[in-house]
Amino acid sequence: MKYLICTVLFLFLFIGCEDAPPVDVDGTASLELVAQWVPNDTTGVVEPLSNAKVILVSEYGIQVRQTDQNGIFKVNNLPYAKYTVSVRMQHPLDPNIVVVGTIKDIDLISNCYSCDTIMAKKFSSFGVSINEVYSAGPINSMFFFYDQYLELYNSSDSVRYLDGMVVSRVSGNSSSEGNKGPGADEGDDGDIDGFTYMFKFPGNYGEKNYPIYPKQFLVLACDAINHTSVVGTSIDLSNADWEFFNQFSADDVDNPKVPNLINIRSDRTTDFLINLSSDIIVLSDGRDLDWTDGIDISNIIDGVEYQQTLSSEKTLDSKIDRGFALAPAKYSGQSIQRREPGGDSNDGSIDWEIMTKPTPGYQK
Amino acid sequence: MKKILLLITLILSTNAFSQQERLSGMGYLDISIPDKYHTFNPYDLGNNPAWLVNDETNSFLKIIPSFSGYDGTYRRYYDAAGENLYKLKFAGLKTLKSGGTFYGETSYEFDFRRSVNRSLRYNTYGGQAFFIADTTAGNFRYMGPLIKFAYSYEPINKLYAGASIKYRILDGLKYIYSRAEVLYREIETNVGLAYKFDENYSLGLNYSYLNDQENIESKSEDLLDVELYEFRGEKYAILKRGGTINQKIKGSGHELSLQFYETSELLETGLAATYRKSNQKVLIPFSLQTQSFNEYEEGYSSFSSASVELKSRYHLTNEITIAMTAGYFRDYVWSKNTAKLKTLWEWEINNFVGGAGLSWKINNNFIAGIEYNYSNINADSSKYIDSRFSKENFGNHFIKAGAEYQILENIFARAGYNMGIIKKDILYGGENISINKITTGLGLYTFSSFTIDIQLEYGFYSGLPNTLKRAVFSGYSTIKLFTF
Repeated sequence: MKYLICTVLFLFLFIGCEDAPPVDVDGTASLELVAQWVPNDTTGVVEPLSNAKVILVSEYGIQVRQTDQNGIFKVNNLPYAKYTVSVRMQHPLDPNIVVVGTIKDIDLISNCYSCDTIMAKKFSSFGVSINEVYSAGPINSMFFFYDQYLELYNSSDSVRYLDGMVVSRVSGNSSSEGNKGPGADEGDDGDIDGFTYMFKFPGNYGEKNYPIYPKQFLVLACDAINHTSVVGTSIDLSNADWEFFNQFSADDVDNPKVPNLINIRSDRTTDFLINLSSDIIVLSDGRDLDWTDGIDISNIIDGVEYQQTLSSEKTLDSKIDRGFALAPAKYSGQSIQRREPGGDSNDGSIDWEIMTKPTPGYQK
Repeated sequence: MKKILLLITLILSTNAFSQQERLSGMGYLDISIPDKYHTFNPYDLGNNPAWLVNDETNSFLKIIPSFSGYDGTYRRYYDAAGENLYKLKFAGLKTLKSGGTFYGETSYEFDFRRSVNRSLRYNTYGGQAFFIADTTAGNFRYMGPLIKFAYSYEPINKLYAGASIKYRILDGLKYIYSRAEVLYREIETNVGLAYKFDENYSLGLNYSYLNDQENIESKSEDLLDVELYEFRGEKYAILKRGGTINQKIKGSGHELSLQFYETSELLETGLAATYRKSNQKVLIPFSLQTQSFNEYEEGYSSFSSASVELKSRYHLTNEITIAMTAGYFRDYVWSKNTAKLKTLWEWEINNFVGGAGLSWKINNNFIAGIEYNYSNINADSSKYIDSRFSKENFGNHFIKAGAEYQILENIFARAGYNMGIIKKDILYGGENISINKITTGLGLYTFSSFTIDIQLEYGFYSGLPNTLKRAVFSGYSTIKLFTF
């Protein structure tokens, strides 16, 4: 019996030496948001944004929820993180309008109850926008990524014309050389810098020869051929609407059945290829073609920056887009696409989503 | 004949524990069967190396090939669909003329895990809140050696001292994306003292230092970027993406154990109390401006366990032995997010165990035994990050029965049966689990220079719903050479 008492005392002596966990626990933050909007600008009456999609972005990824009938979104037991919340809804009467509201960098600490109101604004999507970017390349083991393409979409209800428009890759103006980075307004002179490739639709700004019809998707292929004959997991782009063709290149593929966007930088002799996992693509109206001193921001129709991780540095000027899209992994056969066709709230971090397979010419 | 026996032995193999050959064939009867290789002394009960010199008095060399495995649907989310573990072990003990006893062991294992679901860690379910996962279910194989040395001697009359060191290294590989390569290393040192007050009473004390490290490197060979998820709990994960992703899990700990041992002609009692404290850190390398690398502590887990175990055996008559066991086992584990200093998960299990057993030597050729164990478990888990809280109190029952029969002179056949009724399986999460296991064994002691023991077992777990089933199987043989 005395041995047993000694043994138990021995144990209690050491159990008292146990490490104690931190007093604060994770997963106890709460967030309540009221989403509202003004349906009619003349009356100015504020109404709840009912049954709208709520996109919650944090270091833990993206959660998609919904507001209730009263426009209230409430979530409990969230882990400690910094959140960006976006509420979005298609306008109930006008399909060309997206109602979007965003609050950035809500710091939800443990045992914290955060309450706020999001006042959503109407974004008229009556322009042409970049709707899908397929840059990752197909699943393969031979470094094949030549099936890249971009997709444009006309979300307006009127015909738009592409004459003279320029599609550019912006990857210069490197921050490692002491600059602000690709797509930034270097010198704060109202333009963005770092243009590396610029391919132009035929014609000039203001002409009306190359239409994009309402709700039409246009596929702009790097090479408009059937890539599945090279890599089985790739895609057939022989029916693309447009093809990037570098007339200064000796070996760029040209499908004669597909009209071309041609290179306007004679110092570039390669095809329009973009980085597989991080890059900036810009669509401009073609009035400003002098890339050496940057392209005027007022000429930019749309731009998208995609990055490999959520912690990457954003460099595209925030007047064009306030966030960036999370890109899929290299050689994953995946693309990024806007959540709604042409849905552009000027915040790439919530406008875009990763698609498990590319959807050239249609929205899934 | 020896070659045939050796071949049989190599074919029939299993994970062997030292000196368990006889009792494992008899349904793992733990307390009721008197066995000179399985007593309640500080070495057998408390892993105190100082008592080795008293535990083993004859030199031997053992060759132990073994296999074990499981297969079935009753498993956890990150578990493998099945596992096969093959091992070949050599263990030698030498009583030295100058005094003392030396023990050396080396083994090599090949561990094949079929269709491991996403997890890249060697020990996925260690009680910590951190999981490292990719996106595929794929086969893993681990292989590598283990070496262990122990030495025990009597420096002063009735005072015994001993030390042991164990080193184990495993190299793991996932066969498909994300092609994770794992290097697992484990070191354990153990020093102990024991004092014999008189022929009946002894006291032992030993201290162990434990250190392990697991390096995981994922690098896809087919150009794909690697995507790994650092799970904190079950729901929330941080995505890591890159051409190559490295992880390191470092653990270290200390263990102190105290043993009392009482033996007389009729009674044998052992009491061991153990306290263990350890921690584990998940480390992620990151580069600095100077191009050098540093390690960032993603998470920290603290483990502490305490136990008191009493085992006693009394020879009621020459034929009948009664035995009892009682114990208390406590585990307390918590994990925190180091950067944010927030507790993610905290759990505690208190387990009270009581049992009794009886063996009956029916005649000189036949002995049988039966044991019953009851454990009352108090489990309290607060998984804060997932908002999952549970508090359970339940009892589990376990019955063991076994027998040994001498079929010919110095040839013994053994058989055993285990039955368990587990109300709640705290490791796997199942409820109302029934366990049925049969064991068989054969002891061939007809040769003067060596003996052979063979053991095979098959167990079956089933629960609710009926689709939850798992088969466990193992086998081993021990060739024990007395001259080498």
